[in-house]
Formats: sequence, structure tokens, C-alpha cells
Amino acid sequence: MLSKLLLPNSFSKADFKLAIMSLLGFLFYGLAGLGVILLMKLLSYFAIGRDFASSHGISLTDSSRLGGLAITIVVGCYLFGILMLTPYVPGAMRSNQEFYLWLAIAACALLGLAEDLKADFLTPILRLTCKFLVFGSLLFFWPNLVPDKIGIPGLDQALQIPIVAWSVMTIFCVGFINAFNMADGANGLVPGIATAAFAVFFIEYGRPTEGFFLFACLIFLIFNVVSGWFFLGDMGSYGIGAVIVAYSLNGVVAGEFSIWFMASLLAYPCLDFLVSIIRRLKAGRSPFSADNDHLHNRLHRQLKRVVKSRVLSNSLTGLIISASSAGLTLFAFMDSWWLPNSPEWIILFTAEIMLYAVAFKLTNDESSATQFAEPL
Amino acid sequence: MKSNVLFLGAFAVILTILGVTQGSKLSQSDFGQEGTFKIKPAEASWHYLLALGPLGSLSTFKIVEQGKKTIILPKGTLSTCTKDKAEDILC
Repeated sequence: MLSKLLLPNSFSKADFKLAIMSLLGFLFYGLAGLGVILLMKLLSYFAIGRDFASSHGISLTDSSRLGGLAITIVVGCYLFGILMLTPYVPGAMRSNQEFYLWLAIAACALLGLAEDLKADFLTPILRLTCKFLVFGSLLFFWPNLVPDKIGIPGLDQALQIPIVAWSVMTIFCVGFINAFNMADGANGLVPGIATAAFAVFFIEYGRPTEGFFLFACLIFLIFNVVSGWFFLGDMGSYGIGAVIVAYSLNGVVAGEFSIWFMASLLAYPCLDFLVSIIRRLKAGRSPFSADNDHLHNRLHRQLKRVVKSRVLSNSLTGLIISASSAGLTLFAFMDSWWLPNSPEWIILFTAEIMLYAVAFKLTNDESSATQFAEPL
Repeated sequence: MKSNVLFLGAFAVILTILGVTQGSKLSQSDFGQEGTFKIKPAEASWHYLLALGPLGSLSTFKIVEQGKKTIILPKGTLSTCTKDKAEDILC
């Protein structure tokens, strides 16, 4: 409607969306932001990595799965540029532990890229095994990354036993990456959570790498929410999930963030993952079967009734969930409700659990049967 | 379609190079050498704002400010990163 009022007939809806995205990119990050919008538009033309409406989350339009590749290109270009033009040396070049950590992240991202370029190129079991091998080896050779105390009685005693600590943390890392991938079902949901997480990391550490991730994720969020043409894909969700889990581990080990702060920042993917597994087991299905009864699916069904635009209802779903979980934590962090390493963040995490439970109950639709697909 | 792709590609590359060079220029003045930063937010010219936008410029200042707390030695001499380990967030 707005596009009809503002623009001449020769302008299509797609041109109008591109103009809006370019304007927002420019307003936030100047010509650099505009450049990234154009890069993403360029990648969305490619036939490779195309995702058809029937195969992804709640989207009803064909789109590209190369969002993760776009973010990697942007972060890579800026890191390469700053390496060439300034004396800055990233952590991965100064510390062996950081180098192998980023190597593990790159391995996860490449697993996702293979899947984005050719669907079902690797079976889910093979991908899961590779992720266990990557994080298992990393935490085995670099035990400094494993926290020995997280402030939960009982678990803290168990973490004193190295083999238990290694097993728990390997399962947690792989589980979180899968949870991040599973939550990537609505425009702006996972990109919104990732943007909030990188904003927290950048405010806390102020290093160029977090700044580049924040820049790439925020521009991707704009592109994803406005157009609905571009998804993170498996490369994005595995890669960014791995980066965030690595920052969380480092932050908790160094005592910069409490476990409850990270839990409230990343509440949605973790809660939705746990609830989905419990739901599927209760229904007698495999915990790894895909279905459409996540909170974002339920909320989207409700929003579709009041919002006619398919992209708008999809984007509203993602934005509402990311803003009321990670966005709320970012606001509390910036407003200094508590110190980031304070256990008091458990209050916010508890509130998020209650909010999830209430929203899940309220959006239940008895008339709509759950659709599911068993794993291959 | 082909001309669209070429046009978009060329502009994306040019604008990315612009962003990288301007961001680096804004941040690199004595980057990593404690107490010798020349550029302050008030001194930033309009072309940095045009190239990096308000968030890009603010982020660069944040990186520079944070960099003041850390000595980043040149590549190859990295065994002692900082004078004060407690202040070190980059090592």
C-alpha cells in the first residue's frame, strides 16, 4: 500500500524493498552498510543455494540460503582489510588456543555451507558426528576452554571431574549449535538474537572482530526482515552458533559473564530446543524429527490471521521473539540492571521461561494439526 | 539481469573497499600505542560519517578507546602483550 502511494508505476515491490533496505543500511552504517546490502542482493540472484518456499520454516516465498556466506564474506573482507592497513593482530594469530577455536568454528560453518550448496549432501547423523568430533577434539586439547565452575550447586562438583566436564561441555556446545539451527525459522529471529549477542560482546570487549560481526549481522537482519529473500542457511546458523558458544565459554571461564547472563541472552534457542525434544518424546516421535509446532510457528499462525502480508507476518514473528528474549537482555545489559558476571541474571532468565510458557500456551491452536517429518 | 548483477557487484566491491579503507584510516592512527591516539570523535570529518555511518564511526571510536588499554605489539613479538595483564582484553 505504502509503495503504491509513494512510488511511480515503474517501481516494483522488489525495487521498493531494495530502496528501504539501502536507506536503512546507509542510515546505520553509511556507504559501507549500503555496500553490504548490495552484496546481499547480488548473492540472492544466484541460482546456487536457492531455497524453495516449501522447504524452510514458515517462509512462503522462494529465497536464498547464502546469508551465512554473505556474513562470512563481509567479516572476512573487513578483517583482511584491517590486517593489511593497521597494526591490529587478531587473537587467532596471537594465541594457539584462539587459532584452534576459530578453526573449529570454520569447520562448523563449512559443514553448513556444504548443506546450503547441496541439500542433503551430508546426512544429519554425519553432520552431528562431525560437530561432536570438532568440539570434542577442541575441548580435549584445550581444556582451558572448559569452565570448572559455573555457579550451579551439584554441577560445579561434577565439573571438577575432567572427563565429566569435557563430556558435558562437548554435548552443550553441539546441542547449542543445533538449537540455534532449529530456531532459525522466522525472518529476524536468529539474526536478531545474533545481533543482540554481538552487541553485548562488542560493548564488553570492544575488539574489531565483534564489531565486524555486529555490523554484518545487523545489516543481514535488515535485509532478512524487510525482504524475506535471504536466510542465514546452515552455514550461518552453524557458524554464528559456534562463534556465540565460543564467546560464551570464554566469557564464563574468564568470569566476565555469568552462566545466567548467557542463559537469558540465548534463552529462546535453548528453551525452544528443550521444549521441542520433550514435545516430540511425549508424542512418541524421534527427538530429531522436524515439525511445525515451535513457538515461532504457533505465533506466526496467530499473526497470519491479523496481518495480510506474508513477509510482514513472518518478520513480525521473528522480531517479537528476538526482541522479547535477547533484545530484552541487551537492553538490561546496556541499562546496567546487574553486572554481566552477576548471578542475579537468573531473575531475567526465569521471567523469560515464564514468558515462553505463557506464549506457548496462548498461541496453541487446537484446529491446526502438527506436521512433522522423521529424520533420514 | 546480467547488467544488474555486474552493476551490483561493482558497487558492492567499491563500497566495501571504501568502508575498509576509511574504517582503517579512522582507527589506525597510532593504534595500539598507549596514550598517543590522535583522532577524537569531535575531530572526525564528515567523510568518515558518510563512509561508515553513525554506528560504524562510533564502533571505530569504541575500538580505539578500548585499544588504549592494550598494547598490541607488532606481529612476531607477541610474547608479552601488555604492561598490565589485568587490563589486557586482547591477549
